[in-house]
Amino acid sequence: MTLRRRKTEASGMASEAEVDHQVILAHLGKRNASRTSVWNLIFVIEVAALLGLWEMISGPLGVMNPKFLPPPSAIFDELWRMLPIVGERPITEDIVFSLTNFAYGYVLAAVVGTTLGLVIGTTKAGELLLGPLAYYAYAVPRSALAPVIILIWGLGAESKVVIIFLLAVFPVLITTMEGGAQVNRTLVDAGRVFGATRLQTMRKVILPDLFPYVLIGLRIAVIRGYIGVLIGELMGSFKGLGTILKRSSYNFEMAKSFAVVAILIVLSSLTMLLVSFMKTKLAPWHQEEDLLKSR
Amino acid sequence: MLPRGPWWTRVKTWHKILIVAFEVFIIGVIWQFLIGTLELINPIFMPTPTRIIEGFGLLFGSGEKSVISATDQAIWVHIRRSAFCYSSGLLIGVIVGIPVGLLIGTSRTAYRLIGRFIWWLYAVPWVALRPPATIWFGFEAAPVIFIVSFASTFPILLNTAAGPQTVDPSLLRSAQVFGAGRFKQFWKVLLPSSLPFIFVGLRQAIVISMISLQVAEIVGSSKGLGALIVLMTSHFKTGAAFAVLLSAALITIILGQGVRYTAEKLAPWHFGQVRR
Repeated sequence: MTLRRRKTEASGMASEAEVDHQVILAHLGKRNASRTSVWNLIFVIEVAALLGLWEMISGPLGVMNPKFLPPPSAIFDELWRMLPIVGERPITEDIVFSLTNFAYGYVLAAVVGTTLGLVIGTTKAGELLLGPLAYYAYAVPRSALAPVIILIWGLGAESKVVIIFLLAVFPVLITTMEGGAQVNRTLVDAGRVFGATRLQTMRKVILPDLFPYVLIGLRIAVIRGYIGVLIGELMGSFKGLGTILKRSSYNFEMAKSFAVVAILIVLSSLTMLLVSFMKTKLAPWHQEEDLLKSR
Repeated sequence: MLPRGPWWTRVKTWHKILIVAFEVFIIGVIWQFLIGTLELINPIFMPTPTRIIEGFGLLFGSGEKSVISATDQAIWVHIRRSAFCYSSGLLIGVIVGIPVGLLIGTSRTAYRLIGRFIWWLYAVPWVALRPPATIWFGFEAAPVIFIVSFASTFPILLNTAAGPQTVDPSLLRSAQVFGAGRFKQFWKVLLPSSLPFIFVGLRQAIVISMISLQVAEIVGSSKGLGALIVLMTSHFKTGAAFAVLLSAALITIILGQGVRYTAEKLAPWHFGQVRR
């Protein structure tokens, strides 16, 4: 407990923004889980009621102009039309464009963030020289750099990759650094006592203890990455989901933009699930509930 | 190999400041050399440190030197608009986030009723709502406020909800033993122990709000700091754009430290003991 508390102080103000809400949501869900079918039924009824109400107010009742708030049925129609393979006007090309940019930026961010984070988190020199700098760089709102980045790298894929990288690298970097800071010193000492060399301590003690934090960083980076995709494409692009979103909104085709938002939610949730799944497979020993207590 | 104990605690504060200042200076010199002298990236696009300093002059200077006065908009118009959007967006986030968070944190029924909807709403990338927000709320401050409040609500809400969950059950039981009613249990036990969490949420919200403010103003707004960045960039005054950016970073840091200080005053049992 005391160990965890120290981490909070250590990380300072900057990294506080990088706490994973996924942990809180999962915890809340687990605490309040109810497997009774009554609650599931109530949930289904709730969803149906909400959709029905929405359909009514922007449809027959005419409370909301469907031009501003399209009814769910119109959104589903549009969504179906846009889907790859089955739809009549598929947007496969844009989805692929956005996803490739995301993949490049994300992988780059993962590699650079983990490497730098390991250097800062596990070596004294790195911690002293680069640690503070990383926190200050973190405080700069990098998303506001988008116009300048587009000016430098153009409207194509490069500028998008740079924006995604800049947004996604810091969660990985900071959580890896913090992972290094929270490694249990007693374990390291115990390893030393039993005659482990530096390399062995690194491989057998420090890395396993730090690894879950890297994965948590990667999970936060997913959301950041998708926000980067959108910022880049909304700022200036000729292709991609963000471009369609912008264009359809400004053409007053709100059903279409809602459908794009739905696609984005599905894509980011799937990526997030993938990374979460990776974490439960690769680091099953890590208890995320402890992270909650530390705050 | 590993630092004993926490992060920077073993180095004195002025040492840290000195190290950072020195490093910033070194980076500045390298930057100046790479871009100003070697022209690795065209200096028209990527400003050198000297041009960023000039950029501050461009922003706040008056007369012919100022780009902004040429467009008939003093810098204060932008600053006032941003301050307004930021504070009202954050305020909405607080007003919505704290009560709803406390509700789903304390009541199981409430969580089961709306918990999953919060999952869904949280999954919406807030940037995606920027173009529709223009259609709904027009071109003035309203869509920006909408985006800022949407982005700031969830950190506050979720952290607040986590607060009551971590209350020591024995505290609640002893309150019951001493005859505290439900309201009193909430007021005397649950709320104070949630306070640190609320502050953590607030600190996160301060950073997220600044990010969302900038983004919301960059995409389709004519006033505000984000719009100023776009304006400066399109005039190829990237030095001034970076100056705006650094000012925003400075404001974020100052606000964050302010909340940190308040948190230490109001919840010393949590934040006080970790401070050294």
